[in-house]
Parts: sequence; structure tokens; C-alpha cells
Amino acid sequence: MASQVDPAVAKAAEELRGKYEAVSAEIGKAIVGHETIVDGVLTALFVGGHVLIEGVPGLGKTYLIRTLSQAVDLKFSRIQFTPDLMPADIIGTTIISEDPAYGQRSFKFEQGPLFAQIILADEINRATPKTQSAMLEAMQEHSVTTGGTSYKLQQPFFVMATQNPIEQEGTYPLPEAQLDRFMFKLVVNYSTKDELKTIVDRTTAGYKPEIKAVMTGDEIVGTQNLVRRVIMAPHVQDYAIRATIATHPGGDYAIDATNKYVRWGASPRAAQAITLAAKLKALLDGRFNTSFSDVQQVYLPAMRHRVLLNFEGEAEGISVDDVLREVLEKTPTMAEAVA
Amino acid sequence: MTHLEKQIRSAQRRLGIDRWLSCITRSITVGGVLFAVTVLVQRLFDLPIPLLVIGSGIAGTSVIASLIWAIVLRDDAVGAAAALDAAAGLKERLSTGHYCVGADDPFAKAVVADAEQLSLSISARQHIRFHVPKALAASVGSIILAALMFLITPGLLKSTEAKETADLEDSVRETKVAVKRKMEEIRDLIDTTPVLEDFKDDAKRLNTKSGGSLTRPDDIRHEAAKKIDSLADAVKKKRGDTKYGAMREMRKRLRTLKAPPSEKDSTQKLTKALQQGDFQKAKEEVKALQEQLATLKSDKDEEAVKKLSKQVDALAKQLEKIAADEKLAEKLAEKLAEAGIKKEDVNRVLESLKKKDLDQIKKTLEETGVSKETASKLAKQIKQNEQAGGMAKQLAKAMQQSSQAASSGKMSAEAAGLSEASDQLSKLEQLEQEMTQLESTMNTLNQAQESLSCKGSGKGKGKGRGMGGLGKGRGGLSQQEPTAVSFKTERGKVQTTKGAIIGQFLIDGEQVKGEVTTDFVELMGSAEREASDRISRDRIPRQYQKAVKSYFSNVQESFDKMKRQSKNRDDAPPAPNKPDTD
Repeated sequence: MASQVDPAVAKAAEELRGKYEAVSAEIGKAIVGHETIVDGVLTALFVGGHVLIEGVPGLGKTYLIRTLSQAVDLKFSRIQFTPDLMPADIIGTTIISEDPAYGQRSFKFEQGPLFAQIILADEINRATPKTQSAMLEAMQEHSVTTGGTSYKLQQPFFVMATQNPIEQEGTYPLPEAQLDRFMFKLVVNYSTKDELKTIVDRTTAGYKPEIKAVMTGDEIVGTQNLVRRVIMAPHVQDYAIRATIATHPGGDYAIDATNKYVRWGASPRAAQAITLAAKLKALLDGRFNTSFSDVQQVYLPAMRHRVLLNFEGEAEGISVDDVLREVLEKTPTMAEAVA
Repeated sequence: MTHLEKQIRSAQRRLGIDRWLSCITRSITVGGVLFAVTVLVQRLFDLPIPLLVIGSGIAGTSVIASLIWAIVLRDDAVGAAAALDAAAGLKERLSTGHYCVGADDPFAKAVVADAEQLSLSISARQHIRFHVPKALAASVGSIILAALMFLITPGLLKSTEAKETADLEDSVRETKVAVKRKMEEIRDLIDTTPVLEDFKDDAKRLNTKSGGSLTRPDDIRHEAAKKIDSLADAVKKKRGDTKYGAMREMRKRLRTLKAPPSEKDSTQKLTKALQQGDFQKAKEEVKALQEQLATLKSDKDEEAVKKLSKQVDALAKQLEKIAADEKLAEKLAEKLAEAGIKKEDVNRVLESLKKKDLDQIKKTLEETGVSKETASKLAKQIKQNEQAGGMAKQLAKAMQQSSQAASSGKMSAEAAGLSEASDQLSKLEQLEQEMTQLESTMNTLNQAQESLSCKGSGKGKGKGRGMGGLGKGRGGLSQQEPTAVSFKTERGKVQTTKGAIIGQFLIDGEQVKGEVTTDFVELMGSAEREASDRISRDRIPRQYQKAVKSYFSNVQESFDKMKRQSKNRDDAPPAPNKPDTD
């Protein structure tokens, strides 16, 4: 007689799927199409990562994030990055405040917009590297240190940054260290004809979607913990690791394209991101274990901003996605190796 | 055993069989090719290889090797579970479940439970199917190839080398038979020829085998030719004996006899026979003369007897004359003079000749600086002449004795004289026969040697279209006459003059001081061109290019300046000598 799945575990997984679908449905009220982007954003939110969204202006990047902030009951903050934006503008600053009762003056830290739970860093590449770097500690440690004092940020903490691939004049490409802190980099493509029709109908006919908050911050933290309990078998983990190492030029598993076109490969954060995202995918698929297909599904968004092409790759017009697809194709799963 | 484990084991088994099928087709391919190569080698070199045993061995080894290979490459349980997951589209549920068996974590338990449930609904037999091995076509091909090679008759592929060996063996056999036949012929000849009595032992050695086995026809022929050659040398040596030389000399001298013109002269036929060197006929003529004398005596025709004795006496005198050979000393003196010997030494030799002291002649010749070989030759020649003279003298004496006896009417003495002459002629005839036999033997040996050494080891068996080659002569060897050679030192009329240099060497050494002939301007130009080339090819770093350019322009300027100054100095009138102011 086969044993049964623990009802508590089954229930937790079921609830997660329910919440995910609910948030996704709320976003779907406002956002037409872009399922992959929505899926990527929610995946990052549910596993505790951050997202960098890249796309030409007008594709609804900012609107998507604003809608998400409405769909979850979290403190939202939007920072418009400009070249003259200073770190203190986002972290906060220490000011002199006077006690009206006693007239006593003291230094007081005035929190910046970073002290929120969902941060929309709009056009992040327009700010100087100095300001961009102000986000590093917050994104990795979920804390802010200023004036010798560290401030813990409220959980969950989720950064969604957007950047524009065109109009590169006056922009500052994100440093590698900054990029590596984003779990996913999602590329927003143009809408299809049907999607565009729906967008036009909705936005020009007085339609105002009512977005409800369907998930609290605690629930999100709960899902983040739950995801980490999903089982990843050694052979699946081995596949994820091999697929990561395969991007290292000159490495043991490097393929020809890697050696030829890649200057820097992915960091260990990439393997972490793939593992966590794959675990969520498994749960959403009704499984308690990750599969090779889960890894493959999240491989591109988790890796594309962590791999840097060399001069030859750039000169030949090879995209990072092309190289990554080839890596996936040429890295065998255990089943493929057996066959 | 749980259902999950059962399914995984079943998958493992099926994967193992599938892998073994793949391995066996590959090992059969290799084995087939190996067998085909073995058969090919066997056919080519006609080696004693037991093909059936080797074939069976290769087949057995292929099966065992494939089994070992399949066991070594066998999938473990996780691999088999992953393969089953992939085949059934279960997204690693079974393999993760197998990994989580026994874990306490609720999620791990959930995974195991999920895998167990799934394993009930699937079957490894259904999902893990046997594949047609990739190397199947190759293995079938190699088996067909091996079978074809095996079925080809050995004769078709018999190597040319084996054929050549067989041909060589045949050729060796044939050559041995031919050589043996030839040797037997020579031995028979030696056995049946009385003059070759001394060579019987040599003849026996002709058939003895030389050390080491001779495997090539050429070697066999060369070996036989060598033996014949040594025998021929011995025969030649015997032929060169002085008695034969003397006989030849005698014949030579007899040619100078003058036959009486009248046919009435009874000695005419005898003289002619002697002139021609036909000693047998001469003997018969002597016999006839004896009979004639006897008849005349019985008829008591004294006048005729006297006439006949006078004629015999005349012949005897002629013979005496040729026996003396007055020109011998003259000829020898001439030869010695030609050899560059001083006159006094020649006289000394002639003195010795008068004394008939051959050893002294030889010694004197050697003292005069003539080579040992030439001295021996000359001495031998003198000896031959001496013997020839002796023979002629004896013949003359016998004839004279006979004529004197006839004229004085002594019958017994006359008969004895003619008998003596007859004996002398018999001896000469015998010597002549011996020499003819020796020459004939030499010819036979030479022909045998030639027939052995001329044969090549050709392989062709076709008939030629030619009309036949040159025939083989049967004559004896020509007489070897030493040619008189002398050297004369002369000064060539050549004039040496001073001409153009046709070659010269450049050597490392001390530098010779002198004026440089290359113009400085040329050197400068060359160096500048080289520098500019290096700049244009980026061989000189950018930061140094300016410095290089300025260096050459400065050198050029200073050189021009120097040149102008020197020109001015040369053009200027010589300055008057200034007296010392101090």
C-alpha cells in the first residue's frame, strides 16, 4: 500500500498555488499579456529575490510594478532615478530636529524611500554608480547603514528596477556587482496585435481596474520559507550547477560557444537563483521536487545579466541568450546521459 | 520491496539489456573487422593460422567483452529512475523519491509518497523500450565482410611473394641440377684425359658443397664458377710449363726450314711436314725414308743411297742451324734495351746466357732493376729457347748420324739414327697432343664458366621474338704477348699568364686598415630607409618614432654641413705658411 502525502504539506502547497494565482489574476486585471514577465516578477517576489526589467518605453513596466504593489498589501515606494539623484535621496538623511516642548535640538535620521517593502527603481541606469551602489546593501542584506547605524528593512523587501535599452546617452550601465544582486532580468517585448487591441480598448474607454490586495507581507514571507523546503535531488542540483559552470570560459564544463564568446561567467548567486526559482516552479506545478525542466525554465532570466560577452561575441552580434540557449542544449541532464 | 524500487529495478534491467545490445553490436563490429584482417593476412602470406579457432575465439571474446562492457557501464538506481522519469514524463518524481526514501523531512516524505503513487500507475516495460543499436548496420557489415574474406579461396589471394619464393626454389633446384651436370662433365673430361692426371683430386672437389646453404641461383652459379675458375687456373699454369713453351718455340723455328724444290728429293715431304709442325706426318715420312733406304740397299743402288744420305744430311744441317738460333742473343739484347737496361748490364746478361746459367741470368736481370716478374718471364723464355734448341739439335744429330751411316754403308747405325729421329718426333707429337688436350680442357672450362656466370635469374617464361644471338666460338685462348711499354718524360709547352680572378675566398682575420670605398651617403641613406620602414610597420614604439626621425634628420644636416665645409676647404687657395709669432 502506497503511503499518502502529508496533508499539511499538501495544504501549504495548495495555498501557495492559490495565492500565486490570486495575485496573478489581480495583475491580469490591469496588465494585458506579458505573462512571462508577470510570472518572473511573481517568482522573484515569492522566493525573496529582486527583478530587473528591461524594455523600451511604453510597454507597461512601471504600470506592472505599480499594479503588483496594489495586489499585495505592502508598503510601496517609487524612486525615479536621475543623474543628480544622490544616495541620501534614497537612503535618507540625518537632520537636526528641535523638540517643541523643551526646545532641545538633536540629530534625527529621516528615512528615505528605500524604507519600504516594494521599491520601484525606475530607470535605474540614469543615476550615477554612486547612487546605484546605495542599493547594494539594501538588496543583499535587507538593511541600510548610515551615520554608523544600521537599520533593518521591513520584510519582505522587494526591489523592481527598470531600465531602458535605448537612449544610452547620459546613462550609467549598472555595475556587475549590482546586476548580480538581481535574481532575474526580464526583457519586455512588444505586445501582440490582440494584446494591443485589448490595451487600447481598456485605456481609452474609461476602464479603471480595481486591484485588491490579496496577499499580505507575512504571507509572502511564509511562501518564501515554504519554497525553500522543496526537495532538489542531487542529480537535478548537479544539472543546475553544471549548467552554471558551463558559462565559465575555460571551465571543465564550458562548451565551445562559452570559450569563444564569453568573458565572464555566472556567479554562485546564479545557481542559488536557479535553485530557488526552480523550487517555486515545482510547487506551482503540484510537485514537491524540482525537475530538470524547472531548471531549464528559469535558466535564461536568472543567467542573462550575469554572463558578460567578450569582444568577439559583441563584434559578431551574438546575444547572451543565444549562448545560454546553446549551453542548455549541450549540457545533458542525467536522463540524457543515460540514453 | 516497494513498487517504486521494483519499477526502478525493472528499468535498470531493461536499460542494461539495451546497453548490452549496443555493446555487443560494437564488439561484433570490431571482432568482424579483426577476423577479416586475420583472414586477409592468412590469405596474403599463406600463414598456418587456424582460422576457425580464431573466428570462434573472436566471437566468444566479443560476447564476453560486451558483457563486461555492459556491466561496467550499467546504470545505477538513480540513473535508471531518471531514465524512467524522462521516458514517462514524470519530471524527476521517481528519481527524487528514490533519493528521499528514509528521510524524515515532511517534504521528502511527500516526495516519496508521490513517487510511490506514481509507480503504481506506470510500468518500466512500457516506457523503457529496447532500441535498435546504432552499430547494428556496421556489425552486420563486418560479419558479411569477414564471411566473404573467409570464403575466398586461398589461391586467389596467394601473395606474389609466396609465388616468388616458389619460383626461387624451383630456380635454385634447376640451377643445382645444371651445375651438377656441368661439374660431372668436367670431371669426366679430367678422368678421361691422360694429361690431366694431376687434376683428379681437384675434380673430386668440384662436387663438394661449400659452407653455408646457398639460397639463390646466382650464388650457386658463382660458387661453381669460382671452383671451375680455380681449376682453369691450374690447367693454365700447367699449359704454361716450359716444355710446352719449348715445343711451341720448336714449331716456330721449324717454320723457317726450307723444303727442297724438287719432288725427286726424298726429304721434301719430311721437311714440309716439319715446316707445318705436323710431327705425326713427319714420323711417317721418316719411316718411309727408312723403308726407301732399306729398298735402295737391297737393290744395291749405291748412287741413290748416297744421294739420299746427302739429302738427309742437308736437312740435318738445316735443323742444326735452327737449333743454334744465332739471333737469340740479339733478340734478348734488343728486348733488354727496350726495357731500359744499361748496355753493360745487357752484356752481363748475355755473358750469363753464353754460360747457359739461367739462375745467374735471373739474378743479373733483377740486379739491373727489372721487376721480378719480368725477370722470371725472360728467364723462362730463355729456358724455353734452350729446350727448343736442344730438341732441334737432337733431331739434327739423329738425322746426321743416319746420313753418315748410310753413306758409309753401316746399315745398323743408319737404322738407329732414323729410329732416334722417329723417337724425337714421337716425343714432340706427344707434347703437341698434350698441349692440344690442355687447350681443349681450358676451352671446356671457360665455356662452362661462361655458361654458368652468364645466366641471369630472370623470371620470364615467354618465347622471345629474336632470331638468335651470336654463336659461341670454339677456338682456344689467344696467346698472351706482353706489350713493350716505356715512359718518356717531356715538358709541356704551356705558358702561364696573369688572367682574371675566377674565384676567391673571404676569410675571418685581422682587419686590414685602409680607406672605405662605400660612400658615407649611401650608408646614411640605407640606415634612414630601414628606420623609416620600421616606423611605418610599427616596429618602433610610437613614443620613440619622433626621436628616431629627429636623429636621422640631424645626422643628415650635420653631414651636409660637414661636406660643404670640406668642399670649401678644398676649393680655397692654400693658405700661406704663417711664421711662428712666438
